[in-house]
Amino acid sequence: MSDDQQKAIIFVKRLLMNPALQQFEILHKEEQIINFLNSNSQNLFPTLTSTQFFPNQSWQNIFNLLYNALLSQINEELFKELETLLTRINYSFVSFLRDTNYPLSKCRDQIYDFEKKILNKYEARNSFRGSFAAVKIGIIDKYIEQVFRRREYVHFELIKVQRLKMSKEEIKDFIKATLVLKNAIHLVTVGGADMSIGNVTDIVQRPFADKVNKMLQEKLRLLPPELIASAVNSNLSFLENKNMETTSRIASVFSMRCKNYKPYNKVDRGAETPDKSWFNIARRNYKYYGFDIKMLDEFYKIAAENNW
Amino acid sequence: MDGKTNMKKNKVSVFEIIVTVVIALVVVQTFLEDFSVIIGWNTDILNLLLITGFFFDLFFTIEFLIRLYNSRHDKGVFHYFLYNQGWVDFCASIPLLMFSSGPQILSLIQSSTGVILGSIFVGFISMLKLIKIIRIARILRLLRFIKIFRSIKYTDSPMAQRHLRKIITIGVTILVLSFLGFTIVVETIPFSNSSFILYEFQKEKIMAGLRKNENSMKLDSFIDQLSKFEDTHSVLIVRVNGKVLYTRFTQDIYDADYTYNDYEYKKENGNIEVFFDVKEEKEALSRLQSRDNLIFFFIVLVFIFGCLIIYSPHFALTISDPVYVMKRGMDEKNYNLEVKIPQLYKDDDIFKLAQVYNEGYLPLKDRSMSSDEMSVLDMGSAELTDLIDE
Repeated sequence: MSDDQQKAIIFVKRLLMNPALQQFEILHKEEQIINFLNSNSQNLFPTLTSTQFFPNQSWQNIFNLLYNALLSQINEELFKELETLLTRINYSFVSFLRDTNYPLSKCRDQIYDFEKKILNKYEARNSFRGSFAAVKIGIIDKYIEQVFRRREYVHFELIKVQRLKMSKEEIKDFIKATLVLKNAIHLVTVGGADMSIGNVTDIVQRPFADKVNKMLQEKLRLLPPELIASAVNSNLSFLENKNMETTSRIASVFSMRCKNYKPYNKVDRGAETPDKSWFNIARRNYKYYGFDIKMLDEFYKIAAENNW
Repeated sequence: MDGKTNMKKNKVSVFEIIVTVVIALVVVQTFLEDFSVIIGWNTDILNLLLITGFFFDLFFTIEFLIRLYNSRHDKGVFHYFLYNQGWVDFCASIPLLMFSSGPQILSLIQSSTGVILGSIFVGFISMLKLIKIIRIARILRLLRFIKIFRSIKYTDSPMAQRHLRKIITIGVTILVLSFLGFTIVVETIPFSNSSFILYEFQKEKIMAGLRKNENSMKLDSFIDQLSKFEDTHSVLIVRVNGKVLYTRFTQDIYDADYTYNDYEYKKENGNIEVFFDVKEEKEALSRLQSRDNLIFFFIVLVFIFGCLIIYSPHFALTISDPVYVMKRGMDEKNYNLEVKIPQLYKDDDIFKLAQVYNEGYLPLKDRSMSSDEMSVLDMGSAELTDLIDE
């Protein structure tokens, strides 16, 4: 390891220890640091090219050094967390969907190996940020609990339309697995996207999704096609794809909800709760994000009822 | 320059803290002064409260003069007096010192030095008139309640603080002026209590007897009869041509038991001086007036607490909180909480604005905002250098 790489690792490690970042999930920390480097490049460059940092280097070289150091630090923790998270998901729904008795641990291993590879792409990491946070903070569990208690639109769509005749817990795990695999859409993207421009909506067109779906079904043979389709289609717009799976629609909503998830320790007096605010804004922007408005309405009501 | 400014700021904040503490103490003292009269605490405590009251008035007079002096360098005396509650500082200090605690403390000093009978105040102003002025002036002390809200920061919003202060100032001023008007009217109406009429009648009878017998041999026998008036309105001292012809008690008793407002002085034909004992009447009157003062005190107190407990949260709910949330949403890129709109006030201008913010601004901000531009990290080059040097 070169001197510069060592310096970059020290620099990144200390940056990660900044108290302002401690409230964030691991991928949000990564995003915060990348944004910090991008938006402050002009101010950082003179300092970072001083003798104690990286003298005689171009900004692009410095950025790459720091980015690689950041990836190595984040990946260390991310993959550990991913493994724990995937272990917590019960894959019994796979048997229900495929009607075969695969060893469930193999399904988990296949997802883990796949994610480890695809997360080398910046776009996939960026897309994974919301999904990963959604699974990790347990937002799916609490909303699906309420969906089953209310037995209204979302429940109907899950049970009657998508025909998921499985238990509530299995549906939760199905949605979580959908969320984890949502970034699989980037299987065929070339990578190297401009990190300074955020892809806000993550929406793709049906032909592209179909192509990725086909490729993934060949690649992830242990996983049921329904799960792969659910994950890939969660990147479609519901407005143009009315037959989109309910689990995809749910994954799409919660992935976006948690993309810039910021835990509020204390909601200001006079302000609405974070989830209620988010769902209400999402209701106004449903066409832009391609969300199912009826689904948003129900989640909004759940958030309002529960003061979330 | 900065050091000087900081030192000046520190001095100002210490001064404000001291003023706030003194105001809190004076509120307690104001209550105790009237409460002690009703309860009937002994003379020592009454005198102690009187002395502390005088020092408080002196303190606030000095405070007013300092603020008045400093205002010359700030926005001017006129601005201080009209817009920065200078008039409150004035009304709650100089008139009280001149017409309430000042005369009281002077009388107290004179009585304690053994010149109770023949006080200079008694000489130029009738006791009843003096007490009336003192009573009326004392109501101005209630204005000090307003002062306490100037230095205490009881809400984060300067707008809420200013509005509440304005309402409390207007409310307390109106109350104090009403009490003042009421007290002036009450004090000008002759006291028509039956015992008072009897007292006035006896007093006139005694004075007439003294006038009639002044130059005759019967004066001594008339004075002997005075001791028979053993009721509360009896004569304490009779002086003719400067010579004490009759005294009910010794000087020691007067010194110990009689304060400046326990007797009434009458002078006839230029040479007959009579001191009447009015101790019990005055005590009864004082108790009534102290009761009225305490009622005024609690009305002002309840009004202020009403403002703080009921109006302040209402103001926050309907004005300052929505404004604060909207301001944060506009200032901070990753703050996207909506304003809570209470159903009851949804037609208020502020909530109509909040609705536009919730339904127009926030969705637009959400769409137009590239999440990747945001970072909570904010570091200068010195902090960056530390990241390697540590």
